[in-house]
Amino acid sequence: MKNFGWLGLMVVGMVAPMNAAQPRGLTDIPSAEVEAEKAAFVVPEGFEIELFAGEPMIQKPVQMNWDAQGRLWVVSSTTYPHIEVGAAAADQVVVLEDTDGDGKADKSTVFAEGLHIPTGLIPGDGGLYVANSTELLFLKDTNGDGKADERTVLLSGFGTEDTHHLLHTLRFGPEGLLYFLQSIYIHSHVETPYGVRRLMGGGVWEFRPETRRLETLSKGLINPWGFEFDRWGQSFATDGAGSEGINFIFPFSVFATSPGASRVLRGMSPGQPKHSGLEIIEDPHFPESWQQTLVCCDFRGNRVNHFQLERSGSSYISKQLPDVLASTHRAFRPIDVKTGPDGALYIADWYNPIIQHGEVDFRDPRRDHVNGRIWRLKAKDRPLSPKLKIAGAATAELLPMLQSDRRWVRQFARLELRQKGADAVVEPLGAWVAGLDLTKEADQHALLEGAWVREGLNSFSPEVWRSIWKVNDARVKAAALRILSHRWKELEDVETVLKEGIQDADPQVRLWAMSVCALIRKPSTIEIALMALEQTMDEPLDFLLEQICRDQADRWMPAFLDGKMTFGGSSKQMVYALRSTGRADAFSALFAAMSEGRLSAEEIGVVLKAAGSAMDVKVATELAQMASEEKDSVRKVAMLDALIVAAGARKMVPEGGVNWVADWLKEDVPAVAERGAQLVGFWKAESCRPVLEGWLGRSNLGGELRIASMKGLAMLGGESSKSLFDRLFREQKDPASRALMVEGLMQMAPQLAANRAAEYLAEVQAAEQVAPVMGVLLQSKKLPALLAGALEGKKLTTAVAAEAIRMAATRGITGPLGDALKKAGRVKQMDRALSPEEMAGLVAKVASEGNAHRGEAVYRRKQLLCMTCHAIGDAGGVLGPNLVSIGGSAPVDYLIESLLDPSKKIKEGYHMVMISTKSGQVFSGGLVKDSPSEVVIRDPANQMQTVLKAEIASQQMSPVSMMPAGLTASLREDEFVDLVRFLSELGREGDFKVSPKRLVRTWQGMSVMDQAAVDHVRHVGLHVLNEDSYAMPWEPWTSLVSGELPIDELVTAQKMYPWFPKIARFRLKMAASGQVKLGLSAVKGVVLVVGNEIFKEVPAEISLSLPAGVTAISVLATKEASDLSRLQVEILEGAAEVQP
Amino acid sequence: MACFEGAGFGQGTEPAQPASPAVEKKKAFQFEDGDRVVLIGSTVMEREQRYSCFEPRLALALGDKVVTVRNLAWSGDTVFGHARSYFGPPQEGLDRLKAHVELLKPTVVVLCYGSELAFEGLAGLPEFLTGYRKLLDLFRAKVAEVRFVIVAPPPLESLSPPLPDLEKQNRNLLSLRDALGKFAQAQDAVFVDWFGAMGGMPKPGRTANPLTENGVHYQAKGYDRLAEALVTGLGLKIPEVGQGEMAALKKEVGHKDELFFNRWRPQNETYLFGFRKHEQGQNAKEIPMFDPLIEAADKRIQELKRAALATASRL
Repeated sequence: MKNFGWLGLMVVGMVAPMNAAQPRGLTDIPSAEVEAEKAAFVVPEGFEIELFAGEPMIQKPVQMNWDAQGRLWVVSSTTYPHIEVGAAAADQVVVLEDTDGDGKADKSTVFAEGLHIPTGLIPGDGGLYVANSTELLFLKDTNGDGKADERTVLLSGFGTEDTHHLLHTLRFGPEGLLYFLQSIYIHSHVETPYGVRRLMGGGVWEFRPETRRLETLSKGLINPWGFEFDRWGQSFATDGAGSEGINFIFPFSVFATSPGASRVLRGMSPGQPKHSGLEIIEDPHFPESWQQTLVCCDFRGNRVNHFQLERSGSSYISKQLPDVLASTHRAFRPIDVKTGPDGALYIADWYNPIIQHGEVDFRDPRRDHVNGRIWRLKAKDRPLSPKLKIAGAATAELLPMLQSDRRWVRQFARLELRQKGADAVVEPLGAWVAGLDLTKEADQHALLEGAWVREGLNSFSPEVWRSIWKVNDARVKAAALRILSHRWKELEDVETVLKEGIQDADPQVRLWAMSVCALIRKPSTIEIALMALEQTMDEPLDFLLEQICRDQADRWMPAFLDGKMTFGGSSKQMVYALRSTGRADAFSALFAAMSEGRLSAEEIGVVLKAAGSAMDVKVATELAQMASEEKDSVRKVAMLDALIVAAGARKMVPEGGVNWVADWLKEDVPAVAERGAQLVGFWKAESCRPVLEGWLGRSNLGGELRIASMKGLAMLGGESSKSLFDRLFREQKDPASRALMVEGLMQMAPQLAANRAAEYLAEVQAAEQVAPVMGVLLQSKKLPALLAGALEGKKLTTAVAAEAIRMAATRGITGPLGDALKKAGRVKQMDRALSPEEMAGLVAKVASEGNAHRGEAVYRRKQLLCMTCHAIGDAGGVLGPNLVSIGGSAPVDYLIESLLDPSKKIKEGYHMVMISTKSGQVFSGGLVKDSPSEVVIRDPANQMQTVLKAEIASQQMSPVSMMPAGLTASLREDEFVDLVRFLSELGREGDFKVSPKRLVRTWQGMSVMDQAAVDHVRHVGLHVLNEDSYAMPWEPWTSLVSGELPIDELVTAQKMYPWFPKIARFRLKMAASGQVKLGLSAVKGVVLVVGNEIFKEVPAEISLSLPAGVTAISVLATKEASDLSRLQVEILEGAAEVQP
Repeated sequence: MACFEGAGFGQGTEPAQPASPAVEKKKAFQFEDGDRVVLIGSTVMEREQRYSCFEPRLALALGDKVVTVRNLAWSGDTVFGHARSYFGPPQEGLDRLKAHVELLKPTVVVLCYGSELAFEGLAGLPEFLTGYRKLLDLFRAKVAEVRFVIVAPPPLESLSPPLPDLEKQNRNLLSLRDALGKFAQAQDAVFVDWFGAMGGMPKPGRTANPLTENGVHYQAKGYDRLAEALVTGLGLKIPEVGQGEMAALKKEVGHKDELFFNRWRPQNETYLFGFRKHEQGQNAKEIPMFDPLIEAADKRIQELKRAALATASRL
């Protein structure tokens, strides 16, 4: 097979020369010797690492799982990334055994072969489950020769659109259900005895083998990879391409990139490296502090990360601990990690100098198809755990194992009992459970284990279930409800139980009660779920409740409209349920309640905010009528806003609205008049035109009112609007006014708008003056091409042209406009591709001359915009991929190419989406949400833009990167080389690996304060720095990769007597009030302002009592600290998260 | 309409099962030398390639005539193209199918669609039939003289608990069978009744000797019977050949189907032909390289067929 593979490669190579853009040269391949790889490990103090198995026993492991006999099953693929033409499917399942107990595998058996890029496996139920591309197989060895001789296709129809996203990570949950995952590009259509199940994009599947029922547990994530259950049955996933750390997985949870998602949840630690396999440590071989911690593989950064979770609200916050393992060997690719039968930690090393096949050629010769290793990490001075006999043990021996302090033992005891069947186990299990002392926590957990065993036997008992429900421990209660999520049909008084659950003091119990309500899908369970609103809500609870109300509206709205639902008399619950639906009839009911005075001011605000995108003509007319009678101007503005939204994209124009709008224009409240001006346009109230014309002509008038007048007049249209805009363009000289007139002309007279814009660009001198007009113009689909023509013969300053090119490129507009601007401004950009020789020369220079520290300074230059779009760890922009471990995954030539020609390779999830609307507008940026009703994109200015689906004329993935070409054109070669060197070091062992400490990395830095701002602080007090009521000149700022804040980058001391400080600020968010301990690397002359409290003497470690919500903390480096150049702030203790 | 004695039906009130009208009018389907046969549908058709039961029997039944068979079925597919679409709506799936039809230019298309209606109910039957007609038109638009064989989905089985009782679902399939028979007639297509041929409406209770793995998906023995029913349903007679010859033929068909699967439904579509082809699209050049290998396998299938028939005639 191996030889054949190379032969195939040579043939391909001869037919067509390797694409010139591909990485070339085999020079930076590390040594594949086991000893070389072993020597490169950085092992934590007190631990040691040895090879458990390597080639030729195994090659290219993808997933591994143990069996009850202590054998390690490994699925491997030498075929990845793509089968060679004519090659047979030849991938294998290998079983490894350490028969003499010396910690090294000494026996390997090929259990199955002829597989086609299999990416997951788990032994169980007397055979082996294998994910084999489109199919989930069950393989069995019926004659005991150690090889599979029976192959059953259990499920088929899984997508294969990308071989590193195929069905993978097979895992038994504590209830004996089987879980498996798929990733972003996979679309699956699976026929089951319960109907077809479809899953688009990433997600977690849940399968009960004995009933063959297959359901989706959770959707989304880019490449959900690791998946594991903790001691209490809660589940967690990692993402191999997302960067938000550990994700809490519960029924109906939806994460980023799930197609059609109306709302998504976030991971627990944004800015983390991407993670593959996940394990939860629970074995006395590891020290006490390691118990219940999460270990997951950062295959890009050649290391294994470590996290600790702490309950927070209904979910968790995660704290990163020091790495479990790191390596300086670039081919070390940890992809799976599992505790072994001896308590040691086994790490599957896929071994490859390069990863990915989206960005590196399928047939790149540096791709390793041969090697693969399993490493064994153990604590030096701690005894290994004994290998217990589980396979074949009697029920009476297995039951006490459920009380083991080893996860491994409990898990295999449960699976072994499952295999014995209900008839053999139920009775002895009942007797064993009866003997537990439920006053002890350990026995309460054992009781839960007993309930899980019954689930594994598919033999639910309401009595047993009630016994765990009675345990006064939120963790057990939550687990009980998880069981109920599969068994609610079998519990008679389930709704009574759910009412208890939804009112529980613990938010996670409430979340699980809500999940079960969501599954039952009845009006009565909607009412139960809504009872959660009577206590504090958090993100997962609100996410789920909104989803239930919205997605099940067809099931409960008829009952509500029939008067059969009362929400226990709570207007809060009614408002929440109805506004979540987004249905017009729901808002009609809400307006009725509003006019009857049944809603509070806050509730009315909520209703009006959501009304615009739901109303039809009838309901909009009801609202317009109400608005005309409304006395409270704040409320009236909210009503008019709703009417604007309804009339805008959705064309819902109330009947008879024209009669009311003239009155609104006359109101003294500017906000009402301004809304009125827009509605004049939307509702075509021609009689109001003169008022708007008057306002637009007065350049001294407030900007908002003039913008509204422009919009109104543009919508009224006609020759009089057109000539007015053109006349005012010539008369009014300020950039803002001229941009306004160009915008007004854009729809009705695009050519004229383009001509005027070209004149404008030729007239202005400075780059700053470009943005207003260009920004407006780039929103249109037609205008860029027209502007290109209008620029013919015009001369622009180079600065103006360069800025215009940059703005256009960031919005995905290239072609004629870019060329015309270049010509008009005589701009030269260094955006050409390099010849192979030039590339090789540059790669060599990066290695010999590049300096990563200098490179970091280049990276931080504002005009390069790196930090605007990219984060390193949790600090920086979110438009582009996180660069935290880019050096670990990307070859140097790839980095150079990506800087010079960003469109060549684009990371999944970062493709720019371009949307043209029916009204000719263009939106481009990263896709944030794509729900059935609307699309939200993050534009290049990091603003969210919502486009209603009904308005979309076309939507496409742009082949052009959001990163403009030529950003580095201003750099000298040495600076460029330093920058590449810096990027290539990111995530690798050394100075540029983001430390797992919880350091504050996202800051705001104070730029020069004017006298008024300084006076304000001096008169009112330092605490105003932490309030946003007075706009201070804060600018976004981040720490260095080391976590240190470069205080010396801040502007000169502010003229603020007596401190004369440099000022920076960060914000901490708390889910609930609590203690937080901060550590500061320097304290001399440092003043801390926490909320409105001032600390003039700051200890190196300071404990703070923070309230729930966000607290701003300002740091003043005073005169006394003038020699301070670096400051590091660490969150030592407490459940605080740094807010961006 | 012929009435069918409800053999084994427990209750006298059980409705008898009328055979589909089209079945009675059935005459032998005329295969031409050089016909390009395409199988299409959902899982039941897709998994044919795991068992290779149909093509060997068809080849043997056709004697000297040479036809090729390609399986374009897809788990979970519908007449609307649900399973064939990736990032877009089902229509994208039909567009993808158009490209495959363009590539294969089939002269005979054997379709088995509609099994999902067993679970989704018959409310959507009118839309289903409209979609089916459009699907046939899609083929007609590419190959004017294309002939169709419409196959009714086979019955489901109620296996032992905890697997579900699928009686209600089978009732839906029974009605669907009748509707498909009429539809085939209206479309001038030949109709093959797999529902009836595989036992028709099962008697209430649990299936005694199941042919499916889970009540829904047939396995080896089931596919033998499905293939026989399809070939004989087309009015052909399958000659007896030796077990060894049959096994060799099946193996080669399986090999050809695997090559073709990697040709028409390759992995990594996102990079080869999808929206990331500007990155790794250069690898797509390998895909047509499967064609000569598939043709060579077709030739070997014919050689094995001739050898099998020759051996059989000597016996």
